[in-house]
Parts: sequence; C-alpha cells; structure tokens
Amino acid sequence: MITTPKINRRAFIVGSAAAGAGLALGLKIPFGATVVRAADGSPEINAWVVIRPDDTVVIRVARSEMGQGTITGLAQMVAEELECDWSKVTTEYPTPGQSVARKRVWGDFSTGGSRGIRTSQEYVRQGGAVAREMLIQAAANGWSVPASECSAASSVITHKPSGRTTTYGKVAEAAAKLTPPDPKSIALKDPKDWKIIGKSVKRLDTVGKVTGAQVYGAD
Amino acid sequence: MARLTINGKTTEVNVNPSTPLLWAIREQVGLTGTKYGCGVAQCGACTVHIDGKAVRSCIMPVAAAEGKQITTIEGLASGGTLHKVQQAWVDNEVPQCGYCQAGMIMAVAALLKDKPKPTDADIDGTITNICRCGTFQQVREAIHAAAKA
Repeated sequence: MITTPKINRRAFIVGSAAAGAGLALGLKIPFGATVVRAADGSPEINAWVVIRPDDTVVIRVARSEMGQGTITGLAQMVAEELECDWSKVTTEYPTPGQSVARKRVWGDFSTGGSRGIRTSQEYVRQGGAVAREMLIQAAANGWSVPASECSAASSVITHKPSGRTTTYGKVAEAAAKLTPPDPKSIALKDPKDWKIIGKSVKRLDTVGKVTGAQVYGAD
Repeated sequence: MARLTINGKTTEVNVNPSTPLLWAIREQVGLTGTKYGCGVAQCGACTVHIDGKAVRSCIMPVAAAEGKQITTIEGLASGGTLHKVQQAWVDNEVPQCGYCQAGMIMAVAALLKDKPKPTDADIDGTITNICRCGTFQQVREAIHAAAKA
C-alpha cells in the first residue's frame, strides 16, 4: 500500500524533471566576456565543465551518487562528447543553492527510480558537446584558422592542415569567454563511435568513500 | 569538558561526559567520516580505534575515551598514502553507497593487526558490520587482498 503513492510521486517528479531539463539547457549559461569561475579560480566552460590549467576536467552533474555509479556514468557521458582525457576527470556536485541562483542550469536534482542516467543522458552529453565546440573554437581563434579545420581528442586540439596542437587547459580561459553555441546545432556522437560511454571504468567516488571525505546528507 | 586525543591531536570538547563518543567526534570535533547508523552498537558504522582496538563509538561515553588514543577514518591513512585496507577497498571497488564503509574499514584494520592472515571464519566472527548495499562478498575479497599486501 505504501508503494503506490511513491510511484505516483516519482512519476510526477520525473515528468516535471523532463520538462525542466529541456528548458534548462536553453537557459543562460553565462557568456560574453564574463568568465564564471569555480571555487579554485579555474574557468568554467559551461555549467558542466570546468577545466584547470593542468588539464584536469571537473565535471559537474546534479544527480546524487547513491551507490549505483551514477556520477561516474554521467561523467562518462559528458566526457565522451567533450573528447577529454578520462584519466584527468574529477567530479563535483553543484549545491542546490547554486542551482537556484543559476535558474536550474543543471536540470533536476531529484535522484531515484533508476532514472539518473536515463533522464539526464541527453542534456549532459549536449553539455559536453557544447564545451568541446567552445574549446575548439578558442584554439581556432588563437591560430586564426576556421574551427572546422580543427578537431579534439583526449583533451588535445589539433589543427589538421598545419599539425599544430594545443590542450584544453591552455585554451580554457579563452573558451570560457565565448558565446556557447546552441546545443541543438551540434550533432551528438553516433553510439558506434563511443570510446568512454559503455566502458567499465573505475568509479570516481571510491576514494572519498574510503577516506571519510565523502559528504553525506547527515554530515 | 573532556580532553580527547583524536588522530594524534588533543582537543577539548564541551559535552556531558556521558555523551556518546560518536557525537563528540562528529559534532564537536567535526570529523564526519565516522557515521551514525543504529545507535545501539549493532551495525558498526561508527567504528573507531581506541588504543588500536575497534570500538563502536555510538555507545561509548566520552569519559571512557579520555586519555586514550582515538583514531578515526580520517586518521587511518598516513600522509598521502592510503592504509593497505583502504587501498584494497579502492582496488576491489568495495563501496557502493559507502555509508558503512568507514566503520567497516576501521574494523578490518584492527582485525589485520591482530590476525594478519585471517581465515573466512575469522572474518565472519569479527567483521559483524552491516552493509545495507550488501557488499559483504567484496568486503571479504578485499580483506584477503589487504592481508596479502
């Protein structure tokens, strides 16, 4: 008797999340010359991706990690489209306060019903893809070449005709100042080309859980 | 007032002497890696070391811990190097939600000090911590891995 209202509540929450998520991406990810910075001063490419000068990629998603590996799975999805070096990925949870202040840019915070991956996968991949395009554009601007001549793989951007390369860490500051492209204008990768999604990787949350550093609701 | 020595640091805590040590550690000292689970010494989420022995801190009064060496999960690693039990937990990817694992790891670290090569029977008899995710098989494998490390 207890489960029936729970399912209803979930259906309601997820339904509203789906409606909210579509809006969320269209919302104002800060752009223009104002660079939004993470707490450590590193530039934010967009809400999902912060890149530090040493190429570390901080991926931020709002689904709670409750033991099923959701945070790692969603980070894999952002990283896949971002074309970053997976070994340099760490994760961070935005706070509900940051979410409200930024008009729920990360979408819905609720986590449950085995829906963390399913209902977030599209907008987190778009988030990664938008950040990748901005990083490539920043590198292309630096070289004064068209972005279409450049590609990115494993956090390295290459200008194909000249063979020049640079890294995400080096162009992050410039990329953060660009106007993000419309996520709908970028085609997501074909699943047959996935290199990170679907691979069994080590979970990103393990170390925090064996050192006492992981913060829980009760803490 | 009580003086507690936690992870090598002595701190004065302003609590009633009968307060469970767990709450002094979490709320007065601010070390939240040690968890509250059941509050009746059954689940082991609150396990810390007192003079090297695994103790369930939710039923131990602060007064009983005065003058003793208390070690919490935050004090188990030495500098940047994980304790071999923590490393085995990482290598074997033991935690799911992780809530019970700090207590689990503290219990196992104490066990390995007494019995460096525990048998499955030793593990069953000593590691009675409860994990709601049900990681018991991973815990057992990781204990054997830590014993070999």
